[in-house]
Amino acid sequence: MSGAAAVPVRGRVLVVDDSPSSAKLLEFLIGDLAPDVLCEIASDRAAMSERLRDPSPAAGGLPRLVLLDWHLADADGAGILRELRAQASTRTLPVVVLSGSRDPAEIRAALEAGANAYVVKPRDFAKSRETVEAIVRFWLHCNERPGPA
Amino acid sequence: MTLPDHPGLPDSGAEFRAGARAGAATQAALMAEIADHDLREPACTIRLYAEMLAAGHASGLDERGRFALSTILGEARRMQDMVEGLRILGEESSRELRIERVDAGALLGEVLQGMAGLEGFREARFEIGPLPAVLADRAQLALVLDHLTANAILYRSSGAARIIWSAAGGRDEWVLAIEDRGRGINPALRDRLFRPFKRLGASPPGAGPGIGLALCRGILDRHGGRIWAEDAPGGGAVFRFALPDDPGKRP
Repeated sequence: MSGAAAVPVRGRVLVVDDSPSSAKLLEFLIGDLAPDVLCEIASDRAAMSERLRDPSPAAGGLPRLVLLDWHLADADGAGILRELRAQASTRTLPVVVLSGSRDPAEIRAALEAGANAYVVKPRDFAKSRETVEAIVRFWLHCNERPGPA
Repeated sequence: MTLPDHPGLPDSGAEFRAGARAGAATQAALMAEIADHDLREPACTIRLYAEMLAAGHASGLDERGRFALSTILGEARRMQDMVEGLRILGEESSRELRIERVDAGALLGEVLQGMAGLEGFREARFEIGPLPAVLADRAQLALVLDHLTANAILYRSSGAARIIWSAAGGRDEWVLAIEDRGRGINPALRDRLFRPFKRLGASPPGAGPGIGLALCRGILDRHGGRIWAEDAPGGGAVFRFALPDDPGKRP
């Protein structure tokens, strides 16, 4: 959320999720837990591609992390990941897959398509907070990126 | 299909029943998929938002508003449990059976070892008669033994549970029985017992989403057997289940 203007933006997270309620929940949680992180939402594959098309700092730069819902109505998660991995600018962009399922075949498919991690969506609010906090802490505070290309 | 059918049924009847079981398995798989993919997410989202509201935004609500919120929360959690229950029911009933000769007594022993954490188990008094080797899918029979024993413990009347396992038959089928000295079952409601989510009265602490007996019925159906409840002569309830047996397959 961009309301916290006093806090310098540490990084951006791009949420790719076609369910407005799920995407908004992530935005709320990230806004509460990490006011220095700007959360953007792409509600389908086209919006994601558009957002990532121009990686220049003038366009806001690439996000530090993509949170990708595995079950989008208009595209499968594996297809989206392959698209990201096929382009030089997003080949190493960290992508954490979010899914409701712990089906081993699905987890394997996500990792083989190039996901950096696979996280099962928690069933309750307290656990959701913990999970989002852990993801943000690791990917925006611990993980190093090579910087703008 | 290695499943033995009831003796005395004409072949066409047996084929029909096998076909009906296969159809039911497909339906169950579909139900599991719907529960898993379509129902889970809305149930989960309602719960998450209600919890968010309760955790950080309930101070502006008046008493009726807070009551409405806590109702939404409770019902969303219940719905989430039921969706999970449907998924388990569908998954179990679409699983392929591996029928083999299983020593029911030894299997019950293993099941009881795994139940030590259940509240009321330590205090429970068991009488276990000789149990036969039956024709069944081992994992699914273990589920039946587990659910029936856990129910007898969870629905005990007061004090320690008393549980009697026994067996009868042996010609065309084996009938295993578990008898308790618990609350007993209202005869008018006996059939409802085996439907998912139908509880007779309040759910005791430690109870699952209410699919145990539905799961047992599904398992027995697919074995060509049956399960039913009766009053125990000494008060409480008896659950019996019958598994068809084929003397030709006896070792």
